[in-house]
Amino acid sequence: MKWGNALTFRRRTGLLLALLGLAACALLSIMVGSRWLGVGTVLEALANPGGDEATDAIVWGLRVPRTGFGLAVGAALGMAGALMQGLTRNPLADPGLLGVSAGASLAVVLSTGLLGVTSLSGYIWFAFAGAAAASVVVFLLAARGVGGPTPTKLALAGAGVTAMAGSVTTSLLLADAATLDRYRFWSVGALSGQDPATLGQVLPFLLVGAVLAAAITPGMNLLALGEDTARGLGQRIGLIRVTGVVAITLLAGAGVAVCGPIAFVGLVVPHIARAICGADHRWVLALSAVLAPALLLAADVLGRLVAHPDELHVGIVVAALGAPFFIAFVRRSRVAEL
Amino acid sequence: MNTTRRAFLGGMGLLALSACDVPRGTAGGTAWEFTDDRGKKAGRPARPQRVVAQITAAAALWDLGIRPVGVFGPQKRPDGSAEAMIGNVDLSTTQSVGTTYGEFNVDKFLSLRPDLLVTVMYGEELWYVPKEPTPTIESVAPIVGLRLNGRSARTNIESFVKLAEALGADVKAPAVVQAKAEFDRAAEELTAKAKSGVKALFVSATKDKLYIATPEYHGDLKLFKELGVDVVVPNAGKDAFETLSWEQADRYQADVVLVDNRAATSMPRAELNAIPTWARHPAVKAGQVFDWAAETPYSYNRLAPVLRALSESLAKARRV
Amino acid sequence: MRARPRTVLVCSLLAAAAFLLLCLEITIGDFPLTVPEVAAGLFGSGDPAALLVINEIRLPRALIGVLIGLAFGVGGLLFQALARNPLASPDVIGVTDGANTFAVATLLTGAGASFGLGVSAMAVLGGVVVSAIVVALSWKRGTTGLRIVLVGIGMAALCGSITDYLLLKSGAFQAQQAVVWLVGSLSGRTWGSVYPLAIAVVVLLPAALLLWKWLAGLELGEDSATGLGVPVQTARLAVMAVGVGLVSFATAAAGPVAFVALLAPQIALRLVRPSVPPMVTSGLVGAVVVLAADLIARTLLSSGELPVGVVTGVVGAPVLLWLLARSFR
Repeated sequence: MKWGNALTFRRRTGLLLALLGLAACALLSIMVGSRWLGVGTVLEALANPGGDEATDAIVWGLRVPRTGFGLAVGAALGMAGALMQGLTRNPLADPGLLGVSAGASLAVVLSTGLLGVTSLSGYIWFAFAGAAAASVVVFLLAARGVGGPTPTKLALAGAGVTAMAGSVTTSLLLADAATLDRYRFWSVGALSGQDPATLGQVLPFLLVGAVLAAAITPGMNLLALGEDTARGLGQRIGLIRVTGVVAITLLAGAGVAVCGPIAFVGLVVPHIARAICGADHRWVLALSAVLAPALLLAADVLGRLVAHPDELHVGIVVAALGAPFFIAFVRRSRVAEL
Repeated sequence: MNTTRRAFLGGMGLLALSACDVPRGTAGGTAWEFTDDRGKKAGRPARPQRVVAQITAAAALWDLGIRPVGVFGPQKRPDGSAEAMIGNVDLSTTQSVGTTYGEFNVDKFLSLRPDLLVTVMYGEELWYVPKEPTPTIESVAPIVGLRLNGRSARTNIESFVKLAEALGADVKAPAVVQAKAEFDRAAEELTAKAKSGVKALFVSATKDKLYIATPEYHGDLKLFKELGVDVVVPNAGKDAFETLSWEQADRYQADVVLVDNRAATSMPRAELNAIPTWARHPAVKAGQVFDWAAETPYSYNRLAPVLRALSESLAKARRV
Repeated sequence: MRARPRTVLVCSLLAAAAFLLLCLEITIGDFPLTVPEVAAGLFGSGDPAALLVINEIRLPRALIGVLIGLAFGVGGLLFQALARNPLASPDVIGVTDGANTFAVATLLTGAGASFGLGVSAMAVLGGVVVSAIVVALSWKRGTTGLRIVLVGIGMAALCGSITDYLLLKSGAFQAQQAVVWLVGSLSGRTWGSVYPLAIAVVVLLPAALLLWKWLAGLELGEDSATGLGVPVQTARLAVMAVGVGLVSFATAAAGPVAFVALLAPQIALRLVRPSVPPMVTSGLVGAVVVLAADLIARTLLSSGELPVGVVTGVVGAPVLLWLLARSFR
């Protein structure tokens, strides 16, 4: 009982601190950029839009949308990662594993290379469709035969589809240096340069995905006790898994479609969340949804500063910043097994 | 083995060795020599007939009357349309030895029985020529590398003319002379138009970055500069571009902006205009945004229209 | 290791297939040659240009195909058994990414040239250095498979981000060259690439075979392994070392050829359904996959060659998926 209370305390403070950290990162993301404007000027522009045109263009035109994308996409990737690792019970699983990133990448390359789509709003939907198609294929493959879509089958089918789509993507890229030129920037992942309107367009998908994810976490907790136990407790395992895959596709698919396949966030953040709050999937999901955007925004801010007057893509910084932290973390703590 | 090898060397006309034991310039054919931009002498006992060339070089040589038997480098896009850099090359009359940097088909190359390989260089590297089998390649056909960066487009055209002439092309043919005259006329016109003092910025843009082109790398920009156009020189040393965050879009002031018009590498104009900091650049506000035909092959025929287009753009522009 | 009849049969078939593919690799190509010409050429007689094509271009290429197939097949199996996870290919453990980063840095910035090191040497160096770092960082009074893998993922991500950075900083065409390397290609490889790889394989394959008992123990988990008398920590280090060596040298010769290391052990497992890790089968599957993929890569497109790594994905993935679908029933 006492232990339970300590855990509850730990979870609550953890979530609270994470929320505070996220708020700080979001604020920084609006304050700091390649062009230093001064705290007062930024606050002034935030409070009274329509003042200085140049400041408005940077604060409202570039930084606010970028921060919005960081929050939305970060939360989506974090939740997708938590779900993915929980469902496949594989600590190596990340949102890309269902073939989501590979499907989206292939669709983007097909649309730019073959169909000549060059506008961002054009290939966002291709990316989404590609992500969805790939995860449907993975799921159908894994669902064949005894036991339905078991973790191992999902993981292997995902790896297979990823490799196949990835190979086709690469062959297209190599056939055309120009498409490669476009793709290599997309594929690293960036929060900048997105049309603010697309945020509104993908937000419904993210919200539905988040609701579905939240809905199945109690079931996933029971599933963690073993399939038979879960079934005995009246859980419909198949339904949980199908819902989980739909949620991952919506969350990761929309995230990848908008900002490119930002690696590492979805893989690492759930591990950190589990170390703070234990294996309860409800808490892991909630904490991942807060920690992931914090990591993403922090990385993005850093990327704007280190390469002045250029910027580093967030995908690069996330890995460079997150990896040492993650390694230190793996060394220090007992990594929670799934 | 030794006799077959000697016969092969004689027959194929192999140079490095035969130069030592076969007295040159006698009986058979005149010794052919060409010093490339690495300072390396390419030599054959006879003038090379079967040339395999990197596509940029092939396009330049084509307009001077040289017809390569094989080409390598980008040729067609996945949708079947031709790359801008192939110029006038008729791909149906040449064989492809590879399209991708890093995938040079030595097997195919040797099957073409080549006696010269021509490629371009940016810096010291021979573009598209694989390093490991270079000795094998050179044992069959010498390599000529022509450096393109750091030189103006005119110098680059002239180095192709020099090579074409060495390869036996008639560079005094009326078509070539006329193309050169047109090029010179377009150059003079540009110099005249540049007197207005309009400052020009050459960029390429993606959704999250702005790239400012360097004249020191791009031969066309270096030529514009030589002709008197006030081209913005970014702080990028010898790199092709300086990369800027969109927050820095107004870092370089200019009266006209010329945007890379290759559909696949640069974003559509409408989306570009939606970027708030770009829309605030004085030249953009004034509506003085024009196309930059990057990757135009280095030939008189191909570059004259580019010069004329720039003259027109400058004539339309006013100082902002 | 008492070989079961099924394993022997499968291995013989695979070896025959590999030999056949090797012969095809040497015979088929854009330079038109008949079978007798090729046979004569291998013994040094014939048209000099043909000799060049056979002995300097096709033969080294085919041999590299066989050798990297063996190395990736066996190396992949070692890593999967070590981590007890079918997804644990060398890519996750950081070897591949280390080799990639060092090689791409050499290709794009000329790093390493000042020490006289070429792309291949730098790739071996990268693979070895990064995996040594992974082991060092995951060592805390011994290590576990999971910790190696997690630290490996971290290092892989770090290296990957450096590689991405280098790619973004380079021009479009040099980037293409780096991408070809990253995909894995046998194009333009000569004897200079064969020798180091051959030496590595000749030394490390027997070493891997000697480890099979430890490996079988590790696959059962730490407790069972200890029960069987396997010195777990030593065994892990030995398996790592051999696996890293195989994968680094193979990567140096042809690039990472993604997927072979993941695919070959999985196919081997499903072909022979073994009680112990099917090392020989996995190596032979790797060789067959690489050779078949390269043959397709060289002949599929009329306009030019594809890097072999592209085809291993396109060819290998359906095989894996088909085997999966079958075994799921």
